[in-house]
Amino acid sequence: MKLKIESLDPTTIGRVHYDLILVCIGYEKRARYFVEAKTPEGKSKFALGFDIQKVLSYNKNLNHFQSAGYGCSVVSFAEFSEQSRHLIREAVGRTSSDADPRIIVDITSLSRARIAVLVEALAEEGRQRPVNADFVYSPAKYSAPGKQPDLITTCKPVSDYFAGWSNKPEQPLAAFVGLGYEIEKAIGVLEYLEPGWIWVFFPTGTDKRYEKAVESANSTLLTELNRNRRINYLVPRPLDCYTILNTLVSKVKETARPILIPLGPKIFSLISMLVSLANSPEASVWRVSAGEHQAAKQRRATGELVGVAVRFGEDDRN
Amino acid sequence: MRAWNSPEKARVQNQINYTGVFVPFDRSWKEQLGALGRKLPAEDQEALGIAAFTTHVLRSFVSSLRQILDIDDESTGETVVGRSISRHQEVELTQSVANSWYLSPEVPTLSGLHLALTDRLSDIAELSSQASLLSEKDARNRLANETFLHLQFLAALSSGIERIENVIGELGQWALLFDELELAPTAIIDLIVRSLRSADPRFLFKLSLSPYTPNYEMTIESAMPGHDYDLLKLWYPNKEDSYKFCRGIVQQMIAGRDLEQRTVEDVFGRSVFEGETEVDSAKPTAGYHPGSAEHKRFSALAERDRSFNDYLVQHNINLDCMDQLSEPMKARVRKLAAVVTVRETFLSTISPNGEAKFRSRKNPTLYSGATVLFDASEGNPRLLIGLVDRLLDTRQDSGRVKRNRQATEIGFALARFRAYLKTIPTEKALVPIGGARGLLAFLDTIGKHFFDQVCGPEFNAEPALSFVVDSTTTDRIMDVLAQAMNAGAIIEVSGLGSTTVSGNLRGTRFRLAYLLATQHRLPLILGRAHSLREVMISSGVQRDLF
Repeated sequence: MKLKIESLDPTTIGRVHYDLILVCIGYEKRARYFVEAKTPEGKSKFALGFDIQKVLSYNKNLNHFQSAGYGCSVVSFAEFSEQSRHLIREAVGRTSSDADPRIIVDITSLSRARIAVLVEALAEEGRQRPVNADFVYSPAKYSAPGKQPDLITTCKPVSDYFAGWSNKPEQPLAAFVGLGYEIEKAIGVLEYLEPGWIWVFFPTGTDKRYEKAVESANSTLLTELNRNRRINYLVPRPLDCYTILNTLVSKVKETARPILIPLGPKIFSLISMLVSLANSPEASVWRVSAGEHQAAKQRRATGELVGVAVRFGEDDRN
Repeated sequence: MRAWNSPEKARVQNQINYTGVFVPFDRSWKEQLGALGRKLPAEDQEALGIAAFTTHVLRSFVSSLRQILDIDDESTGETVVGRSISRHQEVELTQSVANSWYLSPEVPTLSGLHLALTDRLSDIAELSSQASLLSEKDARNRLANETFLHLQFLAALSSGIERIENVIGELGQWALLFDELELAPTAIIDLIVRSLRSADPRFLFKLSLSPYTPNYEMTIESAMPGHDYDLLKLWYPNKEDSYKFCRGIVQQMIAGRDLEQRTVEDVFGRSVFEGETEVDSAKPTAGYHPGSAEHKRFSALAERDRSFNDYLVQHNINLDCMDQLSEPMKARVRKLAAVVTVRETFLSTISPNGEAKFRSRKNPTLYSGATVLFDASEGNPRLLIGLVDRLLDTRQDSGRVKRNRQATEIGFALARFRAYLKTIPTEKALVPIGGARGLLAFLDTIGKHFFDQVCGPEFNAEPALSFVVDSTTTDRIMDVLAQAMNAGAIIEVSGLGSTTVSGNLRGTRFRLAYLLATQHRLPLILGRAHSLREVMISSGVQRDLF
């Protein structure tokens, strides 16, 4: 897949009139931060909400999006897949041939599975003609991790599209794990998958309490890991993270099967999916989730926005 | 075989009269096979999956073939196995096999053949993607017209081998080694199991499977236990059965660290769970002589624990004369030792109202010593080698590895194992136990019950440290047990039988994996058995699950 990725300057968002704006109705207060702060303008504006866990700030978020003129739908995962693909296809189809469609997606409160649907839809449209997609993410203020880990119900590729494919299945797996602060979750996944090689991506550049919590939650893994295999990445600089991850994966796939396991900040999940596209079909992206058993937790925005601007269907060589 | 350095190498090599073809599976490949053709009808999806599997087997075969036809081991100058062939022969057999397998290698060599099969795996994925964009009828026609999709792995191998042997003569037997087969799609397992009844004497099959697969049975129509296959259990109900194997591995690792003259016990010490031996009993401070470590433990417990003291009185066991007991009494005392050791380590006092209070022991060296390492690994070479390798890095100048270091490393292994158990996806909401759900909560309930047996208010000389699955156990609990068994968290002790791969777990006796047992502060012994119903209901789990 051809991709061109650049840093997104959030200050430029107000100057763009998008063909489509997609946001998420979730239960976290930060789900509406982007729209509140930037009031993006576009031909079509849609807010697609979860049909489960309508708690905490869910209704306030829904009301806000409705007041701001967003078409709001509460949708199951299957409905989300269908509706979002339709919205993207329609927005691309409406754009004249002498201009490239421009879409913006707020991934803050989307599930990783839903992010995967959107990235796949954009990539598929990008095979027909270049599509510009800006992805924004609103980091959360620090809140302490839960004392009890959530019950895991899913540990598999985030979607069939991101399952990847290998023509050398006897090669060892090379795991690239984004760390989060769920206790021992990363090492559990690694024990489950038994990769031959491991790299961990440690999130930094936010509240130091996060870093301490991530360190503590992954103490066994970090103690045993070769220091060379730990890569600290800056959450506010996702393009840098993409560059490092993509370089590693593209090299490693010559002799191993890359598998990306993005725990922790959702921006790393997006980056992983983009790296997977750039290294398709070898690199797969996995999801480890408690699904509806995940405890709903209030998260507030720090006030920062981070993002990347992606051009699907064109790479740096064009 | 080339990579293996062992004094046993020559002996073992002489016994191997086949060439192995290793066909691995793993979770990633499983998911990729599952995603292949997902948008197509089930029948077409299955066909693509089987085609990918067939190609995978043929690639593995060609890899093995390249190894046995490459006869000189450059590192040692030793000929391992071999057949020298000419370039002309290589071209001839490659072209012949390629015809049979519908391949067109760019270069008529074995490596060209291997590459063509690698490309075929890519082609299968592309074909799947293209077919997904067609109508159902067009997709079906597209797939039907691809002849290679309809190759059967065993027929293809037979045909390939026959063509090769026509050129270079007989090659002997081939052992198809399917690893982690429980991760393969059911259609593929079916295919392989049906092949077990193959009349082709050139093939041996080794299938590595999880111990329990509730949705799958080897039926009479497919293969008969004892006739078509022999079942080998790779777990050890009795831990001592693993010791010879474990000792051999660890001894070799010690020798590899320039510690040739040291035994496993020299480096790691003896485990407190082993009790006295004939050799030790000669020493004044060994065994149960007054002043020995065992004697001190027994005495310390008797002082703190009235119920243990009562037991000793009731059975006429004088601690100061334990070394002079009759043989039957010595045997009784030896049986107590593991329980006494654990109870003494963790029990602080029994309060006047009968409540047991415990000592806080963060990293007890109780779980250290050579045989504890063997027990914790359950004879799994990967786990054992990982443990021992890290420990040998920390050895002192004397060659010994400190006990607290061993206990710490076992703690790390335990943390990894528990994290793994938490990761196994639970698709159905499991039985809530004390507000918690999931496989680990279930196992922890069992562990806590056993701990109460050992360290409860009253001394118990024969605590229950294993459980039997009741006949009334519901399917919901059976699913959890199957998960636990396949994850290695519970170990079958008896009842599963030796002639079936899958079967009814009801009536089977299990113990906790010894690594998990360290979490629950248990002695690493088998103990008596309680029914699972008794274990769970005494812990507050609802009765209607049993």
